[in-house]
Amino acid sequence: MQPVKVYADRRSQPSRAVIIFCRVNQIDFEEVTVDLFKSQHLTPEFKKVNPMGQVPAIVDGRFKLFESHAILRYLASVFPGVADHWYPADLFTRAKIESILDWHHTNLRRGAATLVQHTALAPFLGLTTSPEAVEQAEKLLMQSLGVIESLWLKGDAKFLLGNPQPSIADLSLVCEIMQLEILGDEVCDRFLGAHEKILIWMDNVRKTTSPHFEEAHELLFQVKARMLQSKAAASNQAFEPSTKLKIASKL
Amino acid sequence: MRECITYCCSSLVLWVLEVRLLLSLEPDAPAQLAGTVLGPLAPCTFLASKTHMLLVSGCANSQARSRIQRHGTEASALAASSTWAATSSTVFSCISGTPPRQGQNRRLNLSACSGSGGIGRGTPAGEEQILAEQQGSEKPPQASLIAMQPVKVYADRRSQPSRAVIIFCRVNQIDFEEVTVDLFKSQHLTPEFKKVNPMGQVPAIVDGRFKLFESHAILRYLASVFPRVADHWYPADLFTRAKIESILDWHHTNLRRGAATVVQHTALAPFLGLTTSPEAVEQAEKLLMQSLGVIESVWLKGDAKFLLGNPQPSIADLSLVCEIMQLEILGDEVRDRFLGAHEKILIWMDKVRKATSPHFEEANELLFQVKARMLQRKAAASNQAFEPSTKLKIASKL
Ligand SMILES: N[C@@H](CCC(=O)N[C@@H](CS)C(=O)NCC(=O)O)C(=O)O
Ligand SMILES: N[C@@H](CCC(=O)N[C@@H](CS)C(=O)NCC(=O)O)C(=O)O
Repeated sequence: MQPVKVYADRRSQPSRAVIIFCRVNQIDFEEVTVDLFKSQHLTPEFKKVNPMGQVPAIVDGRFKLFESHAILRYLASVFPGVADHWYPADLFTRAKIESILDWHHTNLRRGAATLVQHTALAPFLGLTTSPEAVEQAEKLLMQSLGVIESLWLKGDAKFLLGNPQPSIADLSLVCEIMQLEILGDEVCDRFLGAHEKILIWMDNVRKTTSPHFEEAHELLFQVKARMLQSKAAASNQAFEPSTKLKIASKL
Repeated sequence: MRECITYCCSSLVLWVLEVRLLLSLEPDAPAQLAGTVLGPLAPCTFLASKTHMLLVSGCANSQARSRIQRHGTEASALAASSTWAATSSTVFSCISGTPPRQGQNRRLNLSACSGSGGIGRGTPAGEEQILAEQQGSEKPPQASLIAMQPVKVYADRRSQPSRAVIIFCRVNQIDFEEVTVDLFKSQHLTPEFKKVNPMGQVPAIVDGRFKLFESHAILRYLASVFPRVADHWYPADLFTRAKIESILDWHHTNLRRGAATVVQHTALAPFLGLTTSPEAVEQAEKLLMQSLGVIESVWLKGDAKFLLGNPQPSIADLSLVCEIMQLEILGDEVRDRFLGAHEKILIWMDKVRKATSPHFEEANELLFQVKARMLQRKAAASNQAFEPSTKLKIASKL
């Protein structure tokens, strides 16, 4: 069988979740980089892969799929070597995981992604940000982190729902939270500092997916370093943030 | 009856093959089987599920088939888990010589099969159970077949995901009890309801001691756990299912975000005490219009009857149509502004309505009452030039 094609940009959190999942589970895949900064997601060729023009997307033979959660479910179901804990066959455990995945879209993701867009990325996106949008996103993000900690990591849960092993929900949510790195350490700590359980859980997820987790996040840390540099340069020499990093659209 | 016996016999052969496969592939398979072969019926249900599994994987795309065959058990168990309950109910009725019961769709406790992980864990540990139907030919001899209390569905029919769950339960004759959580009376914010759903949102369900929120997760769960929910609602075929999952995920951040924001910031804003910004409304309208365009051009292309060109509706059809129905409370003019240009969407919505009639209409009655009341108020307000009444205090977003 041909390897599955995974269209991704490692700067995108759902893209990383899919890549890490494939690596950890030794899925035979080929990573095709769709550079969002170069607007490659808007090309007609990529629109044939995913009409929504977003990453991640996969092509497995003639079968095309987008939306990272749907992709993770599919890969977990169709590939033989994927351990059950990633997407348990048990209907009750699975249903609880589905509930977290659905919740993710309108809570954690909406909070985190909006915040990242309206602060770190805004200058590169040419986004006009409103303080209200930022404030709302910060509130939603903080609330969401609180929910994860008090609801799904209660007691001394190693993984979400007290499961002994990670599921696709653990991976998806942790990749989302990792995106806060590009806000800089100070902001990151403001959100995560008060959530010790989340930090421990994130580390558990990292460890069980190591070294693929670290490898998939290398680019993110490079972006972070470059952003810090351009920030420093901007404040030192009082010029506009570099526009070298042209991000055509939202990460 | 004869067909049933033939079915069971051929299943037995397949089962033996499957057992071999299991034994050769799974180190702890014997333990799993020991847990399975408890009552005289247990092996039948087990083999039936296995047969079904083979049938399922047989129908699936050849790629999946070869992948599944390569592994033998795990992947196919996934494909089968949702058809599992349905198959076992068929076998029960075959053995007792009665056709599947036409009445309420009760969840079966497949405790005979609660082997390690995987297929057919019937009930979450410690769940309250009622010994069911002790009388009549439906009770299989010595079977530990236990029917459950009705599922509690916490809902407000003014909420679109609530309606989707209610319609789904009715259409599939799921034995459920609707518990109204009146959002206008802030009942979703009470400590009692927070015990059901800590997020304080509807819909939510309680099945025995198992609690669940998020409408999509609820629909998937109900479709998987109730025996006679037809396969088309949430297909076992991994490829069809994956495409449906993709639509469900897309829904959250596109159609729902657009539609719900428009409704909140226009029709409901005065009642919600929301300060709306023209930009928020404009953005939401754009997202809604785009989303409708995507549905029409991607998932309803050609002369598709239902999403993805499927011949029957899935939980994605139901969920999305309920979302779009919410536009009704914006009034006919605004609704038509969005839907008028999307003929395919109108036809599709009508197909979903027909396929779920009369439950669809019944579940939407309250919405039309709200709409009528809103129109009245609007008329009154513009006639007598007073502020919209605040009698309808909606504590939070619909
Ligand atoms: N819900 C989607 C989100 C996909 C998404 O937003 N992708 C972003 C990168 S993180 C993207 O491709 N943005 C480009 C665009 O929207 O134009 C998923 O989980 O896959
Ligand atoms: N994604 C959730 C949405 C649930 C939701 O937003 N429910 C609304 C009614 S439509 C609600 O309960 N709102 C009250 C609140 O958020 O306080 C689902 O599909 O179940």
